[in-house]
Amino acid sequence: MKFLLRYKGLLAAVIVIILVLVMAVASMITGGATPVTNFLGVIFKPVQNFMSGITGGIESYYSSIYDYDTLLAENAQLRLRIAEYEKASREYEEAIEENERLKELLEVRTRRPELDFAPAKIVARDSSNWSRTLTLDQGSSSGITKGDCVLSSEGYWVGVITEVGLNWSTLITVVDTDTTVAARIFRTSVSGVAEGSFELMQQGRLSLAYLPLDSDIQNGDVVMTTGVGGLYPKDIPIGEVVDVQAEDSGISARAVLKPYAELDRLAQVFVVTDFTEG
Amino acid sequence: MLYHRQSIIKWCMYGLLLWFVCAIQISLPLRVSDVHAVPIIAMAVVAAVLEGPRGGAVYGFFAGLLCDAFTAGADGFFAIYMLIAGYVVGAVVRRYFRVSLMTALIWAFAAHAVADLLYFLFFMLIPGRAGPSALAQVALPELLLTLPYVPFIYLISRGIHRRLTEKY
Repeated sequence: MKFLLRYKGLLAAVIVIILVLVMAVASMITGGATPVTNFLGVIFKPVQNFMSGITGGIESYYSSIYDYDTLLAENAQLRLRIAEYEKASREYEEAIEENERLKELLEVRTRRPELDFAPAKIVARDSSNWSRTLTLDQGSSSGITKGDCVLSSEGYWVGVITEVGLNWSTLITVVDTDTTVAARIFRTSVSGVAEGSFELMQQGRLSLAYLPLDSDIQNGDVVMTTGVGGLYPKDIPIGEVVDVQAEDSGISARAVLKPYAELDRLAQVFVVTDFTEG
Repeated sequence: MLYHRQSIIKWCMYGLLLWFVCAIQISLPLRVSDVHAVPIIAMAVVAAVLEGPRGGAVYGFFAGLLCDAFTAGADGFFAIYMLIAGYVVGAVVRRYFRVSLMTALIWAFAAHAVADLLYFLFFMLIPGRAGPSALAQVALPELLLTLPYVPFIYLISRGIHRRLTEKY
């Protein structure tokens, strides 16, 4: 007993060494944690986590201070890159739009090779209720002159240019009260005058006037320009017949037309600056 | 100096409001059977009611120019008409009326009706573009659609007027 009391330190060390050896051997054999290490791990893990959290926070705080300048520079660089991407995206959209316009122009040119076109965008619509006009973004600098006719991308009649500036022009649309175009019904070749009237303008329609009373006109008949007089090209579709009425005078008939061009939706038009009579 | 600065800011605000009203007229018109409101004339009248004949005339002239720019073939009709209307409304209101929403409504209605009537006479009836029925088809619905804008225009304009005139 005396011996034990005398060498208790040495004994404790030996016991600890034996325990460690036993644990190591047990760990080697089982390939996992021993009950003791498990017990210790359960107790110390939260403490470890807590300490690691604190030290990690301190570390990241210090590193963020040290990295602040780098981050700022990186942020600026990223902002610059985003701006570049945004610019590229805008240019891409513009290019697509331009491509669509050119494609439409090409289609119209292919369909009507005898016509020379100047593409134009609609920039304003008449704000009064008394007329139906459009303002275009192209003018005399693009070869547009007063009296030029204007077509939609599908090749439908839109109107006639009435005022021209250097980089703008105004056109009266097909339903305006000032519209007067020599036209014919495609199926029967009966000719008349396509003209706007105030009453019909409110409904987005126009009329084909001065038709013989006995002429054969049916709803759905296609009305096209005649090209008579050489003012405008011929065979440009204007609209279709939706109603036939006798004129007030009683000596002729008139057909109410629904224009093919969707005037409210138009954004791009083609001004016929020149044409060869075929 | 303060007065001038306040005055410049005030007229700039009126200018912005005019531009806004013009944009509404062009881009967001409430349409009833293809007729939409035309609140620019009402805007000029409200300015004349609040600012008197001189301010009303100058403001009316510029508002009229805007109207002309967006009306094909108007050829300065609205600029001249609204200059005169601005002066007359400003002078008459200053002398005989109390500045109020009702006054603005009455004068906006009157000025708009006269503008429509004159435009119809000179640009539609005399050139033979439309008969008298056009007045009922366009002028009347246009007036009825425009009047609801007047209270909003009046209240905003009065706010600008009070904030930037009476402080001095």
